[in-house]
Amino acid sequence: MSGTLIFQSIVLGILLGGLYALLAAGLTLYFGVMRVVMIAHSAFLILAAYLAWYFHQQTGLDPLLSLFVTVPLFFLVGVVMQRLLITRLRPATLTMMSVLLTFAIALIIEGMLGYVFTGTQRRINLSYSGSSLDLFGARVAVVKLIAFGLAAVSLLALYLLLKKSRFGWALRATIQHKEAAQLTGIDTDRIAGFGFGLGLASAAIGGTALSLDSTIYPSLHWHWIGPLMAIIVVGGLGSVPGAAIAAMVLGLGQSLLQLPLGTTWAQTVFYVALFGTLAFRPQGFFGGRLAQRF
Amino acid sequence: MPRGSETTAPAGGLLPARLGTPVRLIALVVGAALVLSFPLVAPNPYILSAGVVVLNYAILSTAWNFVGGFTGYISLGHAAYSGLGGYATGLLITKAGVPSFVALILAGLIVAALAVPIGIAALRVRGASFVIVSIALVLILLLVFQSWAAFTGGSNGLVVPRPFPDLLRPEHHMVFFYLYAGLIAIALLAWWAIDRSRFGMGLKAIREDEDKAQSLGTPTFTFKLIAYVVSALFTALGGGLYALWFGDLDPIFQFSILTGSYMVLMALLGGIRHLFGPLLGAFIVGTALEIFKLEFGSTQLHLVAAGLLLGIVVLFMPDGIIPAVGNLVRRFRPTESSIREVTAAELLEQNKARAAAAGKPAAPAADADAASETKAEVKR
Amino acid sequence: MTAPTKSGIRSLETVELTKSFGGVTAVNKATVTFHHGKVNALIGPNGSGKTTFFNCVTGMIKPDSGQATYRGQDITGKAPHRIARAGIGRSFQLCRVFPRMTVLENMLVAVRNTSLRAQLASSRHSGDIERARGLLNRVGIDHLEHAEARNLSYGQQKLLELAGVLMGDPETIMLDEPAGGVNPALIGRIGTLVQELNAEGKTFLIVEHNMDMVMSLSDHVVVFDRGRPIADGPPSVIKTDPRVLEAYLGV
Repeated sequence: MSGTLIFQSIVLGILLGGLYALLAAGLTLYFGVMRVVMIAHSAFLILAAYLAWYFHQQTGLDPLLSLFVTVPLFFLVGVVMQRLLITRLRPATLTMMSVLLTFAIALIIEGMLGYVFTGTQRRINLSYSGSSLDLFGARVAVVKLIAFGLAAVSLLALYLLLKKSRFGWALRATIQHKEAAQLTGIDTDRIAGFGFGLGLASAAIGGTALSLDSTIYPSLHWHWIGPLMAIIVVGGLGSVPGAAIAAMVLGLGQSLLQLPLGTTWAQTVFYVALFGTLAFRPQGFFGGRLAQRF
Repeated sequence: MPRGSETTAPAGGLLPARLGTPVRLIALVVGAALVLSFPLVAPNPYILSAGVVVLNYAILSTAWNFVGGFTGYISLGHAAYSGLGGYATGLLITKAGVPSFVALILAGLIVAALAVPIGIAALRVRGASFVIVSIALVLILLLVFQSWAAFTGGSNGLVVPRPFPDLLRPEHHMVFFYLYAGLIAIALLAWWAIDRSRFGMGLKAIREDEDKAQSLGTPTFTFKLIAYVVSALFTALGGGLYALWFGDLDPIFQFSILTGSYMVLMALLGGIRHLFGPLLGAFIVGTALEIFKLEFGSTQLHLVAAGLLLGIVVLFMPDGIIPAVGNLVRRFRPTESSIREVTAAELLEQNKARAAAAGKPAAPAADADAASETKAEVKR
Repeated sequence: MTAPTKSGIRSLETVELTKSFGGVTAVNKATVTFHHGKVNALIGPNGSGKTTFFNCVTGMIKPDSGQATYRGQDITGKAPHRIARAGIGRSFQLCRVFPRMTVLENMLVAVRNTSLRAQLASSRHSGDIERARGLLNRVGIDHLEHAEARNLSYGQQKLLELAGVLMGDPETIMLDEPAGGVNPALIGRIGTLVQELNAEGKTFLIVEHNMDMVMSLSDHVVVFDRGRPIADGPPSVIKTDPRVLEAYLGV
């Protein structure tokens, strides 16, 4: 195994980790604002990828442009979903029932994708699909760099939004202590709706990024939900930085393990990490006390 | 059931107690007779095989309900255990040459043994984390069984030899229909026995409030683990029977999250707190799925239907059909009030009389105020 | 802080028990001795660590360091059900019952049985039911036996929780704010119950903010401030202790 190969894997791992981090951040937002584990997150991811593909197919324009439609659309869907569906659940069983509810949504999305676009595997072919850059000896596909760039920019925007804006301040207050936030005059229901919208918007961005260099099919979301769930548990449920770090570490781990083990077995790194975390540190490595109780 | 419903009937009290037992027994006998006569009246082998499929769902969701119904831990990945049961049975027959039904029993025991360490890891966390773990479990197994082709046959599948090679197809279906019915009967009996036992009371307390149960002295972890292992055992036996019946295993169908979610959907739809809830749910959903397959073939619409149904159940009747029907029945029978309609004063008199009869002094007079005060607080 | 118990039987004791959350030390090297056969009260301003102390002792939270013993037996960091079986029953600050079980079933959960045969036997054992009804009668909610616990009023739920704890027949009963959120008549009722049960030999450990209740009921008061005991003694002494007044009124 040559040094360049390992270096290549590291670069690819970081690029993959960036996408994981963005998606895991979305999952963390849902959990933070509503204590909801959103199984349908990856289904929306694939939906966005399909929309990007379809947009490209119909218009011939760059799939990245579909973001101008999907991001606001998904944000709206997220708000509506939170206001109309999630809030209907009984508080006492919210966490458990929301898992089932979002699972149901994932099934509906997968079924509709299969019905509308059939189960055929789809792939976007762009003028720059095949080109790659030489990065200190590692060959990296341009589309992967674009995907990573999208993820990084979105994560940075999300970070700034949470840290600097009044809305972010209210959102973080809601995440940390809902009742206290209400007492200070924050409309936590509205904030929770926006939190959901932001989470889904991140799925739209992630899905578009994914569509650039992946073959997509309706049941692909199952391949994403496992790793993503593992990431948020390892990171500690409800911790955005925890999720980001865990995403990077596990993304790198997956990429490096592909060298000796092959792509299929390398995926087990997520599940090994998941079970290891539960066995030795059920609250996750970066999160608070939340995880074990939910 | 709508939220915040204020009915206060004793759990499971669809019928007045004195009338309940005979009526229930008759219903049970009629229901069993209907199920058992199905193979005789089934018009063609296809319908009969659909009946076997429905019974397969029934055993799986009933088995799921040992952990889901009693402890409230929702496992979306229980297909892990049916898949393991199927593969263990198939591999014992093909690789070790064990006779079919010995292999089935052995497979159940092996999977139950495997469920111990898995349960110890998974049951450390509650609620959503547990669901995540259960999903992860089935995804891992899918990965392993697809990749480890040398042992499991991988994506090419594993052919399990038929236990009765001489039987024709319809007879084969009929035999398995009764085998399934027998397994379901055993599972129901076990569920019923646990339901009425102290152990079951402890499990239900865990479902209601785990910390509280533990503070009252219930060894919650051990209890959960036992329920989990029993559930895994029955799920594996169901999966093993499927392997013997169907004769061909493919990881993508054996370790499918969809199968696991059907188990949850069926149990929730029927009512997870009730013995026959999963059975009822399996009958409804299983039949619907078979019809869907017939009507829409290989389209993915059955996913949409299953998703919609699951969403509706979760949103509008998370307690399932049986309690919903029970509430309806109760609404039309206003005279049956579960809280005794006794005024505070009457009750105090009764208590005093009872105490006097027992030769004890009546409750201290100073308490009378407070006692009647609490009684006045009964919500109607 | 280590006044010997007069009866000679050791009850619950802690030595340098410590628990911190993040940067906050909720319980800070607390060394406390409670008296067997007495009504012990644990008081202190909000945030002084009483409930955390309570949870450390009953096993709901694992302490970082220090030791808790009950009748000389080490119970530090043991699982809650083991501590319950050692003879300590507890109630919760925000009353907790099993909402979707009937009042009677709530009681039957607390029946202690360790043998496999007993666990597999019917939960509706007539002896258990008889005893449960007796206790429900005693706290005054026996007429609600078939109601689901979630349909009870808060006061009734408090009484049910207490009856449930008694069902396990613990020799020491820890009550976390028994008077919290209930009306005065019911406070009197609970107070009377505590006195009666104490006369029957139960040891009590009560965390309470209601000073009238604490002073009238308890034999021994321990005052907590900033995660550790600052004073202990009979109520008459505690009432006039300058350190206690300072802790309550602020510095």
